[in-house]
Amino acid sequence: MTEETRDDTQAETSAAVEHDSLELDAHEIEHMQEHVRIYIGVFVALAVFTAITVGVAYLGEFLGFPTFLAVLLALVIATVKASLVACYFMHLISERKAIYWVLALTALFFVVLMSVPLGQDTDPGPNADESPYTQYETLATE
Amino acid sequence: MEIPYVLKPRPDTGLTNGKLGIWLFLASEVMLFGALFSSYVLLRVSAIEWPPVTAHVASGSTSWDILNVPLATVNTMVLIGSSVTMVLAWASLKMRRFNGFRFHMGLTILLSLDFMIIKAFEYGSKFQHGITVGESNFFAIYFTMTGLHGLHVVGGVIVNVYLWWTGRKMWKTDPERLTNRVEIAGLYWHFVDLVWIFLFPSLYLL
Repeated sequence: MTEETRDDTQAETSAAVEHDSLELDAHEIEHMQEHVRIYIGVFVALAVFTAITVGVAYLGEFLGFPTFLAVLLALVIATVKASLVACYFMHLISERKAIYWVLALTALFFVVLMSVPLGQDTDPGPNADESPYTQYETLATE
Repeated sequence: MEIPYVLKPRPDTGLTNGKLGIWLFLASEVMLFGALFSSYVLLRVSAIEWPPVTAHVASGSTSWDILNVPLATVNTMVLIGSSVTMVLAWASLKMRRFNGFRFHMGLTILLSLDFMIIKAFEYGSKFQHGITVGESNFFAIYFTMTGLHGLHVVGGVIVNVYLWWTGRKMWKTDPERLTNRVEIAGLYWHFVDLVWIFLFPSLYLL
């Protein structure tokens, strides 16, 4: 479709929808209803994944999963949930190229941002025991 | 002056200006929350013990002991629910069902307020015990991140109430424009939901 014809179609649609009573053609309604079914499905999936995250974290607490495994599991589930929201609710599954480029650049900068802690010295140092919290630690264990 | 490309996509981007605008804004939001997540990682890996021991937090405690996980789980469900009602509000407009929009947008607003009420209870019980942002690094990052997220929820509620309240007028004069506005408000709202999806396990469960 050329630019010009697309503009024409848009103009026609704009003119037509000025009336409240306008009926969309059955095909379009059917198409949207299909979407609505997908949204409900995504909602159910998100609810199930939330239950799984809490369940896994609870089990991990109980059975004493290593921290690495607990963090990995929680982040994997969160990423799956976030992808569902982004792909379906935010329609990223079928978007224009310009948005994909914006997001690719954002992802790159995000990775840089999350890598900042890697370069830091996280050693608490030889005086760690003299932290102001040590007194509380003694209190709590007494 | 009339804002260009409100309904008609710009030929070079293939997008309406509003849609490209909200995505650029969300990209900046990713960096805002990303900076806080990054700080959280740094605070956590450099702590002798996490959560740090304080007058209210005994040694060997986990986030489960000091935060209310059941309440936060309910809140996660509430926010996810508000995201689905938001997308249904937009879908209703797409199907030219204005009453459906009013219903689903109203539900979205109620669920968002519910989220804030539950959050207020959580904060309240911390304040009651004298735990504030200065308690420890754990509570500092907890209050900063959930607080900033809460402000985003408030912002979303204001926009959604505006659309719910004034929507009828625009529906009569410019229904397509209203549909686009709801879609854009929805993109923002889903992002707020998305941030919470990462905040919840990071702060409450790990």
